[in-house]
Amino acid sequence: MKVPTQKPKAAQMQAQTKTRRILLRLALLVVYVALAVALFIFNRGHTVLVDNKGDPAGTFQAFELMKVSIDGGKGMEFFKGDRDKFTVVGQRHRIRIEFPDGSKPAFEGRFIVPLGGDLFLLSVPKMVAGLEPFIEPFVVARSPLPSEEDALPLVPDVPEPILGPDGKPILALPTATPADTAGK
Amino acid sequence: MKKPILLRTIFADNLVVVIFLVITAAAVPVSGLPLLSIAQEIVTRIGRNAFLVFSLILPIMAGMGINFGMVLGAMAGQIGLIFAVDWNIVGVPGLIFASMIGVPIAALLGWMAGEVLNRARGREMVTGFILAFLMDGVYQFVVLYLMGFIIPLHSITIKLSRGYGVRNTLNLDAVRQTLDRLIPLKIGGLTFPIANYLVMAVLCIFIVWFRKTKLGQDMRAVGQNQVVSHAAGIPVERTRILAIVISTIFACIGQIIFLQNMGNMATYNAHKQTGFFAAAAILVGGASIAKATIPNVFVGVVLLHLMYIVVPRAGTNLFGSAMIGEFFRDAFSYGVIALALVLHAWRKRANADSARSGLRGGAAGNRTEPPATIAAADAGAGK
Repeated sequence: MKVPTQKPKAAQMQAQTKTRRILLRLALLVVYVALAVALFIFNRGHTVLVDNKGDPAGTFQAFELMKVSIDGGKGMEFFKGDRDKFTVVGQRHRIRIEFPDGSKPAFEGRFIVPLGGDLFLLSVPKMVAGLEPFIEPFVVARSPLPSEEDALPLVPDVPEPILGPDGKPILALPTATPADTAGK
Repeated sequence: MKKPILLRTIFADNLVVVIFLVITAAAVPVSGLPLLSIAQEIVTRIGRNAFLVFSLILPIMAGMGINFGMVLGAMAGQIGLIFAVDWNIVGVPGLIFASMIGVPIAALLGWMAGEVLNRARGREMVTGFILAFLMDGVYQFVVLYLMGFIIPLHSITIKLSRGYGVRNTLNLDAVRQTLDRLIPLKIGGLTFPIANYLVMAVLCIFIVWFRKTKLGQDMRAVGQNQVVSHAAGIPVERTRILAIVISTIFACIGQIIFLQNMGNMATYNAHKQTGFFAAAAILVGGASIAKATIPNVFVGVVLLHLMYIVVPRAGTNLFGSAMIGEFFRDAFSYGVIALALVLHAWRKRANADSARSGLRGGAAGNRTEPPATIAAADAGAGK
């Protein structure tokens, strides 16, 4: 009969420990990544431009005056043709529209902001009229941003003249020419 | 037998602290700043800077001196913040997200730095300093050329106009002072950023606990004598690498806390002075390159920043020029690092001489520390 030796047992235990360690590390890695993804999804900020403009074709009309608040935040008043921005966090939001002139009862709705975009346009008249899509990505036609160098002030440094005891300049210092500043 | 505590010994042991106290105490009335505003500044700056200074404790404990390589961690934190701002992750979750991006990078950089420092034993501080310069070049290459080109950047507002690379200054609006304002507490006209202090308290508890763990004890043993530690079966190189890795990770988180308070980030410069300010603070607090404690961090941050607040204003009031105040500030900060290093070297030599004369049978009159500590200090400096 074969007598089991200590060596294979120890090796087996070592292998088990190693497997357990690898599994534990993998689980931690998964938790780490999952947490990062959750933070990304639930805490990504978006800018929503709330719009109170009617359709030129007359499908829906702008409101004379409305007060909009998103997720129970501070309300903002909009007159006809107004547009203003709200910053929201996450994807799902509640919007409450009140009409201070009493022309309509208050409206409450929900909207979802896609994860990928930064800037969206939400048309309140369209939303209240039940037309889709009332929220759309808003693309700003930008001219290229000024370069860092361009952003610097173009005023050349003008050193202060040294004044004599009589208050008159005793040494006229050369001022920087445009060529100097361009060469910086 | 217990040695009598001499005033002279206390003074000599805390010379740097005493000098700083005298300078700042003299500068406070000259500055003309109201005490309440000085106190508010100090309260804010403790929350902002102390975490970074804490990151220096573990490498000192492991006998590696001041980890000037903490700049690597600061760079990792900044990379995390760039992504948090790029994806507009707002509030405290944005800070956590930045940390989650930064920490693995910091761990990797810390491991690399630890490997390098193990090969430069005895010259860890200067090697760390130069390593920070080297990695600064790598950071600039990544952030200035690879981001937006190979590494995708989402937001146009942080990109340079040429289409790739990150702008010189980043607006951290998404995370600005979110931790500071999370739990505000007002007492007697002072606003305390309690959340910051809680984070620091957790870190302090971690450090106290860590010292008692097997790894913490190993670090202390390695800091005292590497040869004996190795003979006792402690993996000296691994322990030293871990000290640097943990320090770099702390520096990463510390830089994120620092920058959220500032509210904007100088992408290519914000990390450069991090190691220097943290080193100055811990040395001003009475630490040496062989011994540092938690109180050293708090005393150092308070004293150094008290000086930063009052001395420029005092210089302006005395000489009518803000520039002179700034010169004062720089001169004192660099001076204190030099003084602390010189004092440490001088004390170490005096102790070694004293121990040697003791062994020869002479009087060990100048000894201020027991021989075991002297050996530890020698080993700590990598000798």
